[in-house]
Amino acid sequence: MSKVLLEAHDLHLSFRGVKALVGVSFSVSEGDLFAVIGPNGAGKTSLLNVLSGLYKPQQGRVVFLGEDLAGQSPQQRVRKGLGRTFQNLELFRGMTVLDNVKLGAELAVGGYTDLMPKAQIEWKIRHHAEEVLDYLHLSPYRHVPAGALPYGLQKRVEVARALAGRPKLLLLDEPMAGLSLEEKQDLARFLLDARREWGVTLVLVEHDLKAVLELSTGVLVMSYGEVLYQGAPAGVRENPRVAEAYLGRSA
Amino acid sequence: MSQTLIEFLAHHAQTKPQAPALRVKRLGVWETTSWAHLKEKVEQLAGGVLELGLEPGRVLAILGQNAPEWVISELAAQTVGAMPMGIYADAMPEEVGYFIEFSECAGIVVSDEEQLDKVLPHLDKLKFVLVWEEAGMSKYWNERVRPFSSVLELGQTEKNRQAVQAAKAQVRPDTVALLAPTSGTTARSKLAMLTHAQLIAGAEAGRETISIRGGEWVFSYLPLPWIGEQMLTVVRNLTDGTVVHFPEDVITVREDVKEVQPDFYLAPARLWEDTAALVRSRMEDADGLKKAVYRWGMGVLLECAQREFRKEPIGFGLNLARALAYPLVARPLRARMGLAACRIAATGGAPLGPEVFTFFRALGVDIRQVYGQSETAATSVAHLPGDTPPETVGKPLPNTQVRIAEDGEIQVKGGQVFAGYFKNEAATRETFTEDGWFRTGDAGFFNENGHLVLLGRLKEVGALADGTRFAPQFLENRLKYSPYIREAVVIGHGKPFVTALIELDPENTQNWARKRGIVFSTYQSLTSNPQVYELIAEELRMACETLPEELKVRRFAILPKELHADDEEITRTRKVKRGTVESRYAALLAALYDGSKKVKLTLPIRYLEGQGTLEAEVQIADVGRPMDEAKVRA
Repeated sequence: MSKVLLEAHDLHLSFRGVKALVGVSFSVSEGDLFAVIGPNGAGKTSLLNVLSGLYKPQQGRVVFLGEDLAGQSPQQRVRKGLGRTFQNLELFRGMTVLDNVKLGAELAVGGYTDLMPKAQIEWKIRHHAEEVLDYLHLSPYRHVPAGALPYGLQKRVEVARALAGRPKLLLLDEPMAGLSLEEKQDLARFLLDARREWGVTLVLVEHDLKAVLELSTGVLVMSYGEVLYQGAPAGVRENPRVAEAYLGRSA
Repeated sequence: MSQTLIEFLAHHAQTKPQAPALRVKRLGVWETTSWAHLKEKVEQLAGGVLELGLEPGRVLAILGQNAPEWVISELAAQTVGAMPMGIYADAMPEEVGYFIEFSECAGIVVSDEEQLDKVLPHLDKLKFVLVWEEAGMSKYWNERVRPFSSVLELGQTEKNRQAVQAAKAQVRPDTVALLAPTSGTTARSKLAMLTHAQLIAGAEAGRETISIRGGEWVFSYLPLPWIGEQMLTVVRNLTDGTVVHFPEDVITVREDVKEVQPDFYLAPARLWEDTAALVRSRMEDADGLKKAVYRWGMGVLLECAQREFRKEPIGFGLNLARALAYPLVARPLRARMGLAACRIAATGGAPLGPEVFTFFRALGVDIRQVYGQSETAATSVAHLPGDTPPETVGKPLPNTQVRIAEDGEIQVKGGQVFAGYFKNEAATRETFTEDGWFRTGDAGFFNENGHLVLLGRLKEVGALADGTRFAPQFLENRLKYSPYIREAVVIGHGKPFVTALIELDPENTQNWARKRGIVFSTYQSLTSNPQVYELIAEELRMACETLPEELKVRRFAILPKELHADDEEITRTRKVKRGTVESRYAALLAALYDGSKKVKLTLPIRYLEGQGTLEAEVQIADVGRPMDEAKVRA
């Protein structure tokens, strides 16, 4: 068994009366492609927000690389290697694709320090960003403002920006939502390549059940903030509770 | 004097090791490969592929977009006396399979995953597959499929170095240096074998036309398997020491060429026509001031160019106007096209319409026609400096003999004529006359100035029912000058009058329709629009205005779909395959002559990996006044 990278222990989160997470626990090992699925309002995005530090859970702990992340800001978590992308695009729409990705790349290079000449840092960041652009076949669009690209490409730019930071673990919030089949296949291919060649562990919130079952190594099924199922993707379809939540009682 | 391309490489590497040979845009930066570095890489790869089982005399296939690795692979094959064979990057998987099987190639070098997918089903027939875009590909690596860079390393062992030197010593001027696919408008393309000596002779023959002296910047974007691009990117790079630039990606070609602004530019007729049509239609849509300046400026420039062709004096006033029009109109347009630095350009592949020729001449780009085939290293007849009448393809080149046979066929003899078709003795015998001249299969004649005028394919030159000789290609080129017509197929052999099938230029016609508020959903709906029919009828009338009455296009129909290489209607270089078009649209052809107003078509089509059928009702329209029914029936 490879080493555990991320652990969630008994997470509870509620907004006033609404319970978003009710005792969620799971763990992700290095090299996993871990999928979180569930119907609308199941608490998937809330879970990612807790993991990345945007929400503070009322109860429970998030442990990354053996360290409790309690009290750490999203920025600190990103610098530790916990990257994320958003369901609704959060790109700087007026900036070029390259500039967006360079922001991510700054993390991997270590940012601007006083010890290195500026030009050299700039060059390293650019080189690093270009590598990611090449990898995701985005080079032709490098000088296009991100907001001017079609939706599918913007999604890819968002993934590129997150990958440019060379995270150890990347949280992806519905990366395939709204994409055509071909775009989904491309993106899946890029993600698998990144996992294999750069050793990025992936945690993925996804609606597309088929994509999830084909790609992932582990699955967490949620409904109304609770964990319905956790385990191998093969077991998902057989699980009666999952079938009920997804398809209704009569199924 | 070097006798083989490999000796040229060694010569440059020795005399100017640090000078740039190739440049490519990678990760946003132009990377340079110097001559010394190029030679080193070529020999490393040569050693690597020898170790992997490429033997002298065998074939090394190359499949991918233009890149330095393409050239390195080709030169590596030549270094060890093997035959490089380029496959068009947009070839369908079964075409790739055919070439692999037919050539019995020992191995193949491919660019990326997309190309690798086409090769994987045939892995059992190959000793090795090399991939040069290595990012994200590690899941494929095994004993047979290897990263390009690892094979460069493989070639660096002492044993392999010596093997390369030994193999290189065996390469003679008459060793086959290239298998060039023929354009294949009629059937599955054949492979023309060209030796080092023949390729070098071709480059020598074309030297004056191209006017390259060494060090010029060249942009390599046309498919490298095509002989014209081969001669420019590989052969002339070696014989004349140019600097070849490769684009970053297929879709960035237009941007990259603006960064390079090459000194010399090669494009097939099709592209020149597209560019001219694009400029015209864009200017139609421009705002009032721009449009007015363009109209005036272009008018002046065209008038000057025409007077120059006719060798008439230009006059003081017009000259003054040109001095103003040139910086206002010509320069900005040229910079946009990436032609700012380019004075000399060449066209080949198919005859270029005189209007397009004059258009670029007016902009100060001196386009010279080059006529040749894969079998003649793309050079047998060409324009020479200062003597470029647009209606001809020029004079026979130095050391090249050209004659017209009884039946009007153009025949060629010279140092650049190929050695024969690969594994096809029968075709080789057929293509040479008894006294050893190469039959081009094209029809033409020499005019009073000794210039060759092309009529089209010999098989396609025909006669109307009343015996009037007519050359469809000749007419088609006139029609294609319209910005709204991308391709035209003119019919008339054995018929009472001339008709045409029209493929719309999608972009320009859509813009035209949008501007007029014409409602359409798809390309197909555009093709059946009555207003579009009126537009095309008027375009045809204007294009035929100066022709003799019996050669004017009288009737036409607009094809309901774009011609596509996947449906085998055109070749990968966008030459119409007449036979296929005529048989696929047979019902439409019949209707053009039986007086019907519309006809229903059911066409099998292919898209992506799937197949389907297209149902369409196509209208038939007359050009000008409706045809006399009595004549139609005749």
